[in-house]
Amino acid sequence: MTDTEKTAGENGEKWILRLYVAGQTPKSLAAFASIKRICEEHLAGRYEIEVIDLLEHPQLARGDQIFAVPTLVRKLPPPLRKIIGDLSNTEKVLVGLDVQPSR
Amino acid sequence: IELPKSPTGIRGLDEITLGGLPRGRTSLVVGKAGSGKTLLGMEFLVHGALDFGEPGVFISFEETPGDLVENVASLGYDLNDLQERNLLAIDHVEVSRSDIIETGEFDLEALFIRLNYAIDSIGAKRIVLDTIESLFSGIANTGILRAELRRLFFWLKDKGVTAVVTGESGGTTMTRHGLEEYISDCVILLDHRVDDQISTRRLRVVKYRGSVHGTNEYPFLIDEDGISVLPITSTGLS
Repeated sequence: MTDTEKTAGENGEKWILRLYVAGQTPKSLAAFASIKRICEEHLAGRYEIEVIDLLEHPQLARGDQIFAVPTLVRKLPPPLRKIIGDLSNTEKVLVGLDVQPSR
Repeated sequence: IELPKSPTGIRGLDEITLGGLPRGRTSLVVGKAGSGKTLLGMEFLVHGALDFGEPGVFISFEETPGDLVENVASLGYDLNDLQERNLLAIDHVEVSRSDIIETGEFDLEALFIRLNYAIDSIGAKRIVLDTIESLFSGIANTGILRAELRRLFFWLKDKGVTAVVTGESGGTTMTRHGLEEYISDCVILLDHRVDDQISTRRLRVVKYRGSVHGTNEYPFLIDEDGISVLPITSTGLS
């Protein structure tokens, strides 16, 4: 499932995030819900979250050097950043993604 | 009855272990950097593939595939050729904490998926995890890490592969992060000492469950043919 937002945000910087999961486990579902809420709140209109299920695409784990699940990878803007875990701590996710809170 | 064994093809090692490593089980090879543990693991796979018809997987947590290929080329092993012939698969798992933040619960299922994918892609019967302790430098939550390592060693047994896990020698404990608690079937210690300019390498089978084995320390060499363990006990030498 890809959740794409067509229009770029105010300063046009498009965020590309990739969430690696392994099946629909509670941790993975919680991680997706968290990142979706955070992006809606702080990156509305300029983010894209791609979910990759490693059970279906095992060979994709190597590309972004994934060893833990869930792992969120910020592909854009550079530099590449990774957050491991169910993303339950919003502040840590914001710091990890280097997102300036919009409010 | 004697435990089924997986011959290593390493000169002298199969003699002192009376046949090789415990088949379908996990063995731990411990040593400091430069003690020869990566080479021992790689030879176990190369001989497995070339001499015993058992393809192998090398999971490297430190050296890049390029380094691995280069380091053994001088021994006459062509790892690229082995990979092309699906006799060997190499996966480099990079675990650098610098760009990773942890928040909340996670597990290492992605690592399991990578190992499983590499094993199944070539029908591997052998696997080497070269210095899995690097995970400790990459993951802060050691509670989760230790639980997942325990799960991993059970998983390897279920998968029916003969595994070699390498570990760094520790100060107080045998390995820096106490891997010896998880691996009880076979433990081999590699030592490399330099006493008044004479460099001696020694190998000792510290533990080998269910099998008779030479418990002494055996000198070994690393030369252009790789590792050769000299069956004369080092005590017999002095």
